Amino acid sequence: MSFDKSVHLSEDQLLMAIVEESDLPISLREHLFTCPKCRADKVRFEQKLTQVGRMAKYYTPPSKQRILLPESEPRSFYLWFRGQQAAFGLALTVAMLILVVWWTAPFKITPEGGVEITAREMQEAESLMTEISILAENALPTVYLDIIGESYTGFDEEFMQFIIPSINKEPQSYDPGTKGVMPC
Amino acid sequence: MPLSDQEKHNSKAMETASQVTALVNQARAGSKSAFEQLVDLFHEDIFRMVYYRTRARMDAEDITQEIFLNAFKSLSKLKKVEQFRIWLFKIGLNRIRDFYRKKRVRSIFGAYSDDDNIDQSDTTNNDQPEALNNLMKHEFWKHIGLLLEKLSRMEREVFLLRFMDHLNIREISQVLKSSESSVKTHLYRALQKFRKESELINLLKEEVTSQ
Repeated sequence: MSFDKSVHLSEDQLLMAIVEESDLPISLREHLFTCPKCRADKVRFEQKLTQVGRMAKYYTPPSKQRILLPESEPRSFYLWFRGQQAAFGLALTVAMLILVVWWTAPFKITPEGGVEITAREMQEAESLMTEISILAENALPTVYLDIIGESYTGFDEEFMQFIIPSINKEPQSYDPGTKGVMPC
Repeated sequence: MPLSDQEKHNSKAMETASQVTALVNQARAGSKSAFEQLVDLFHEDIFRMVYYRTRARMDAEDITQEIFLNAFKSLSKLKKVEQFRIWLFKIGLNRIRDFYRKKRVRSIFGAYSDDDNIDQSDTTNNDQPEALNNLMKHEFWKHIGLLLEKLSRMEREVFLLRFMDHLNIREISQVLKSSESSVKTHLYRALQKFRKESELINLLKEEVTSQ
């Protein structure tokens, strides 16, 4: 590409050269290399930027604080932790398992102790079963039993024999004109 | 044949780089004294970097302490040992971001005023040359502040890292996790705005002629 050597770099092209000279097109780079004016402009601008850095450094107060580091050495702790990673993982899993069981279990372990709780629960169950047995025997309350005349339960053996005679004993009456079994 | 200035500078930089790499390796192996040597090497750079962004000495000191403590604790996470300096800058920028976030929250609840941020450590001295120096310092930071206000966040960061922290384009792209072309674009835009800051440029000229 041909170019007019008398045409100098524009300000924007100079800025591009300051950012990265190798990014300029070859023609402009060649001009910058050979043109003393453009070279001087570039150097002048770069000096201003260098001056910014220099003044910033000059006008920065010195740090009065000393850097303090902890006593433990990072590498050794890191290595120790890496070595114990499996153990930490296992412990964490077990802890999580215990927590899950604790929250989902139907019974809870309380400070009172398991044996006492079991004894109390057994006693409650026993009284409940007694109540159920009574109800199964006489479902009606006592008041109703009195009304229907079934509240008296003191029937003796003789009375029961009268109501339901035993089949092994001899019949109480004999009538040959009627059907029946003849005694031997 | 004697070495040129550039060659001398390059060889010195390489020597420092290999020294830093060796110290970082020792520190990673558990040597606290090696890390202390690294602190000595980079303390000033990191303190200045923080000061340029906070312009308050005490805040800068506290943040610098945090940066080195953070680096000390997480040194094992550093993947490329030779990029220790870049890594420190990354930590630094994150800590500064945290600092401004906290400051914003505190200002919402009225527990922080902007006056707290003014560095008044040197303004009490009325000695004649010292007072002139303080005036110049005040003017310089005022104009830098005005310039930085006109830049976008990325332009500001790129400008500070390039011309005040003296990082090259590749290093800046690593610190900001951005492409080199993006860094160049932001730097170009920042320079366009810098060129328009006539008062700052005049101040720089005065300083050059007075030296």
